[in-house]
Amino acid sequence: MIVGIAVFIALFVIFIVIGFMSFRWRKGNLSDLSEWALVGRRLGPYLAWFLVGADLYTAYTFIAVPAGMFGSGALFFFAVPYVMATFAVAIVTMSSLWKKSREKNYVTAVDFVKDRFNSRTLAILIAVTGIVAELPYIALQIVGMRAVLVALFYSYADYNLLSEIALVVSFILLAAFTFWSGLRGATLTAIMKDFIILSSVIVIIIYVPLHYGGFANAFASMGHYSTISPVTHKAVPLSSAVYATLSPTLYSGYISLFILSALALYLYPHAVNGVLSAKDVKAVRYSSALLPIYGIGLGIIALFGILIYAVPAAMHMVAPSGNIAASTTDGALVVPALIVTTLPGWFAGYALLGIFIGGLVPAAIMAISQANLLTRNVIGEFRKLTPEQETRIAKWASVIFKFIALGFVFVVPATYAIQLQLLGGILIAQTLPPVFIGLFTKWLNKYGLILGWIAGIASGLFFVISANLKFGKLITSLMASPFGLLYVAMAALAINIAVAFLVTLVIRVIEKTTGKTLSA
Amino acid sequence: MKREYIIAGILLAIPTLVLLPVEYYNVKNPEISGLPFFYWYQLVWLGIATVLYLVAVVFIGKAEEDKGGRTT
Repeated sequence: MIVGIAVFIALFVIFIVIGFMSFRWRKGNLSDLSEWALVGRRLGPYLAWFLVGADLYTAYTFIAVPAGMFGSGALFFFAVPYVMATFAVAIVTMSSLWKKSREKNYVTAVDFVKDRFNSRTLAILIAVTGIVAELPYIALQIVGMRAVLVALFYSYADYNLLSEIALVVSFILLAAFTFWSGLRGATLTAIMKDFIILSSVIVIIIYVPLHYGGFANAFASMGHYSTISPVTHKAVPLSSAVYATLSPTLYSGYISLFILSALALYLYPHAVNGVLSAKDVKAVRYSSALLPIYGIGLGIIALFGILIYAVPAAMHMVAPSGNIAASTTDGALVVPALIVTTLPGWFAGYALLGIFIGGLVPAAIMAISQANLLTRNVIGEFRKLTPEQETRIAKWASVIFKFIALGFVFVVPATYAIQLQLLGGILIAQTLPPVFIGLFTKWLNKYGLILGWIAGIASGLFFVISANLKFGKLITSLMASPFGLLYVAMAALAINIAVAFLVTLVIRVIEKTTGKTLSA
Repeated sequence: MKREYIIAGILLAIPTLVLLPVEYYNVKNPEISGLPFFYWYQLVWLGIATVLYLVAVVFIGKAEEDKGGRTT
C-alpha cells in the first residue's frame, strides 16, 4: 500500500497547489463577496456543470448511500430517482432565482426572501435553518474522508491515529485555500475531483464484476453473513431478498424519500451558491439538464454496497465478525474497502484521493455558503457592513464553520452523522414555501410563512423523536402514517404549507372585511 | 401560458412520473449480468431524463427568445 499512499499524497499536493493558485484565475477583487463566493458570476455551462456536480455529488453519494445499501438494501437506491428528479426542480426554480439574483445582486436565497416578503424575522429564520442544516452535511463529508484515510492506512497498526492526524492537516490546508481563493479554488479543484472519481467508477464497475463473479455472486454470498434485527436485537442471517428488490412495506418510504430529497436539495445554501456562480441563465439550465449523467456514476457507486458481498477481503474490513450490523463505522468503509482490496496499489491511491477530495470540495463550498448566510442575512440584519467588512467576516466564518464540523465528527459517532444528515434534510425542507413558492407567487404572506415554518420545524422534530423513541437512539427518519412508512420531511412540509396557507387566508379575509392592512 | 412552456413542463415531469409507481418496476427479472431489473431500469431512466431535460431547456430558451431576447 506504500505505493498507494505515495500516489495519494502526490495528488493531494497537486490538489492543494491548484486550490491556492486559482485566485489568479479570472482575476477579480477578492475582497468583494460576489467575487470571493461566486467567482464574480462568470461560469459558463461546462464549468457550472463541473462545479455544481462536484458540489452536489458529495460524500453522501460516495460513502453514505453505499453504506445504506450495504446495511439496509434496496431502500437506499432512492438516491437515483432523487437525483433524476432534482434537476427538473432545478431547471424550473433555479433559472428564476438566478435571474432575480442577477437583477438585484442577491448572493443567497435568503436575500431574495427578505426582498420578497419584507420581513427580517422570516429572513433570519430561513438563514439560521440553512446554517444549521448544513452542519451535519459537512460533518458527513468528514466522516467519509476519515473512512478513506482509514482504508489508506489500514495496513499500519495505528491507522486510527494516522488517519485523524491526516484529517486535521488536510482540513487546515483546505481552510487556508478557501480563505485565500474562495469559490475559485473549489471550481478548479472540482474539475480534478470529477475526473478522478468518474474514471475510478468506470474502472471498478468493469474490473470487480469480472474478477469476483459480479452481482449474481454478491447476492449468493449474502447467506454467509448475518445482521442484528432492530426488533428483537438478536443476530439473524442476512436475507438477500431485501437487496434484490424493495420490500412492499417500503414503497411509501421510497417515494417520499425520493420526492422530498429532490425538492430539498436546491434549498441547501451550497446548491444555491453553485447555481448563482453561473454566468447566464442558459448555463444554469444546460448544466442542470446534463447533471443526471453524473447520477449514473452515483447509481453505480450505490451498487458497490451490494457488490462488496462478492469480495471476502473487503467484507472482512467492513464487518470483521461477519455480522454487518456490528460494524462500528456503519458501512462508511464500504467503498474505500472495496477499492483497497480489489485494485492495484497505485490505482487504489488514485481512486481513494478522488473520494477524499469528493468530500473536501463540497465541504469548502458548504462552509462558504454558510458564511454568506451568516454575514449577509444574520449579522447584516443587525449591523450595517461595508462590502470589505462583509467579505472579511465571511472568510473567517468559513474557517470557523469547517472546524465546528470537524469537532462534531470527533465527538459524535459515524452512525449518527448519517442520520443527522437526514435530520438536516427535514429542517431544510421547511424553507420551501418562502423560497420555491415565493419565486412564483406573492400570495402567501409573511405571517403565514413564519407560522408555517414554526409548525413544520416543530412537527418534524416531534415526528423524528417519536419514531425513534422505541429504539432509544437516532436510527430512522421514516415514520408510521396512514399511507405506510413515510419520510418525516414530507409530513412536516405538508403541515408547514397547510398552516402558511390557512394563516394567509385568515389574514386576507380579516383585511378585506375590516379594510385595514395587517401585512405590509 | 405559452405552448413552449407547457411542452417543457411535461418533458420535465415525465421521468419523475414514470418512476413514481414503484410497484411495476420493483421486480427481479430480467436481470443484466445478475443485476435485478429494479436497479438497472432506474439507471436507464437517468439517461432518458437527460435527453428529455435537454429538449425541455431548448423549448424554454425558444419561448424566452420570442419574448424579446431575455436570455442573458
